[in-house]
Parts: sequence; C-alpha cells; structure tokens
Amino acid sequence: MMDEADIVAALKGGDASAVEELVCLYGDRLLRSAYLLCGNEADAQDLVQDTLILAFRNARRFRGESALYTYLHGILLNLTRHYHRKRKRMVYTDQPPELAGPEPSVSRDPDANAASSTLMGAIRQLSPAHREVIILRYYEGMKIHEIARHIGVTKGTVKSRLHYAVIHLRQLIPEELNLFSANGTYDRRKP
Amino acid sequence: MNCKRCQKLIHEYRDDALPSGLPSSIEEHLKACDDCRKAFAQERAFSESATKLLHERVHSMSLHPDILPKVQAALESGAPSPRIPSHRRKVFLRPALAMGVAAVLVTVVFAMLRNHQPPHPIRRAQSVPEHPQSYIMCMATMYADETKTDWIERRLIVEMKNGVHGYLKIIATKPPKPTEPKQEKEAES
Repeated sequence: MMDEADIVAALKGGDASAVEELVCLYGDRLLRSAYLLCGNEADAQDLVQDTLILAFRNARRFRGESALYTYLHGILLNLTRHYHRKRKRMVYTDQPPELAGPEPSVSRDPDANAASSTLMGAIRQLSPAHREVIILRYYEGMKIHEIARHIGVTKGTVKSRLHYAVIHLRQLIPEELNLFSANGTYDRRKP
Repeated sequence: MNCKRCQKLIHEYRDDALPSGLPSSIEEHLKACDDCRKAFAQERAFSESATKLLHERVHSMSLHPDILPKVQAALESGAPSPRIPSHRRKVFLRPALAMGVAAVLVTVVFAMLRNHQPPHPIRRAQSVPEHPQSYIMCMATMYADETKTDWIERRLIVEMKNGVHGYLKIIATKPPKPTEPKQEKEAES
C-alpha cells in the first residue's frame, strides 16, 4: 500500500497504478460525498469515475498545498456543479423514481432511517450553493476557513450560506424529529 | 462582546479557530446571554444530529467494482477528459448576468445617441440673455403658434437659432408698461 506522497508522485509520473490506489483509499469516501451532493447514486458513480480520470490527467497541477483528498474533492465539486447546471430544470420531490434510483441501505433503526430520509429530502431541496456548505460542514467536517478556501469564497460568504441553509432546513424538517432541539439530538432522546 | 458579534463568531469558536482572548469572551457572553446560549446549543445539536444522520445514510455505499476498469480503460485509450466548463463560460451562461450586461450596453448606446442630438429648444431658450428690464426666471414652452403672441404682455418672443419660436414667461417681475401714450394724452388735454 502506497502512502499519499507516493501516490502523488505516481500520479505526476503518469503511473496508471496510482489510480488503483486512489480508488482503494478514497473511492468510497468520494462516492458518498458525491451522492450527498447530487442525490443520485448512479450519477454519483459517474461523477467519481470522471473525478478519477481528471485527477490523473491533471495531476501536474496539484501543488501539494492541500491533502490529496481535498484535491480530489475539489474536482468532484466542480463536476457536481456542472451536473447541477445540466439538471437545473429538474425538481426534486420526495422520491423521484427516475432520478433518485434505489435508496442506499441505511440504519435498521426506523426512527433514524426516517430522520435521515427527511434530512436528505430537505437537503435535496436546498440550492446547490447551500447544499455544498451543508455537506462540507456537517458531512466532511470542514472548518469555516477550509470550506471558504475549498469553494473559493470568503469566510463571511460561507457563514452566510450556512446560516440561511440551516434556516431553510429548519423550515423543511418537522419539529418532531427534534434535530434542532437544544436539549439534545434525536439520538439523545433515546434511553 | 455583544450578541451580534457572538453569533458571528460562533462557528469559528466551535472550530477553535479564534485568536486568543476571543474564546473566553464568547464563553463569558454565553454564560450571561440566554438567547445566544440557546442559539449555540441549537447549532451544536443540529450539527451533531446532521453529522450522525448523514454518515448513517451513506456508510453502506461503496464504489461500483466496474469503475476502476472503466477509469483504467479511459486512461489507456486516451479518451477525451470529462469537460469542466471554464470560468468564463460559466459566468456568461448565467442569464441574469447576461441580461445585466445587455442592459448596460443598451444604456451606453442610448446615452451616446442622445449626446449626438441637437440641444432641446427649451435648454437653448434658457440660455438666452435675460430681459434687460427685469429679473427673469423663465420657462420656455414649445408653442409655435404665432397667433398667441398677444396672449399676455408678460411674454417675450425669442427667435431661436433653429427657427422655432419659443415663449419666455417672465415670472419675477412684470416689465414696465410704456408711459408715452399717457403723456401724449395729458399733453393733448
């Protein structure tokens, strides 16, 4: 197993075996992020495939100033934006059969399943810019300045988008799910 | 520390990305302010819930085994790269921006055309020297009907350079009436 520096060197040297390492190390993580960003698993697979091809072909542009995953995720983000522009006129509903495809298997806990379905449905209704910051903040766990650098905006813009995205989610998610309760998360309510 | 500043810095506070001194002042404010403490707790609750739910949602997903062979085949065959639109293309595809640029262009062209037109007769009339006997505040109109020249004696006909007759209405002072006829009458009497 190669470490990150070796993979970068192999990518820059045009060694196609580095792609295999990329898939092993970051394939699933990229796919999950792509799914959250685009809302469709089949399209997410295609986006990751394109990401890997572009990452290999443009590896010389990678200056090593960020982690390799951040570089890959940046390419994925650009492709996702392009994807959303192409599908701009599509409207997400709760279960669009031609768009969402089969739902990924989730937790066996029906409450958690319902909560995650509701949250995903609400996130799908956000604008792409708001969805990006929500996914980067709460799924990728990025800090504000990291998100700002990643998507190329100021920290103030990130905070503003986050603020309005959370307000929008709050309107979309029923209070019964208790996601915004100051007393605890949906998980803490359980014994 | 006030509420507005506290809520502005709350994300950096959670990220431990604030310079020294600020975290302690935020903590002091949170102790003292119920609203900010509630907002902070709600943000933290949503953050924890959303992180957990999103990870649960996708944890079972994995990349399809066909992806790697497809990528390798694409790299070996030299197939064209997936197209990422350039920044310029992205900008000009936005309809609102394109409409804004079009509006600016139309305004500029309209302004240029307007500057080439001869000055409006009203403006020209306002540049006519004032009445010699009174202090004139004048307003020109575009009446070209010369039958109204006797409309009121407080009007002065000005011949315009472009041949249009303009009427200057004397507002401030009524010009003095001629006194010669009265003197003639007195002399006759």
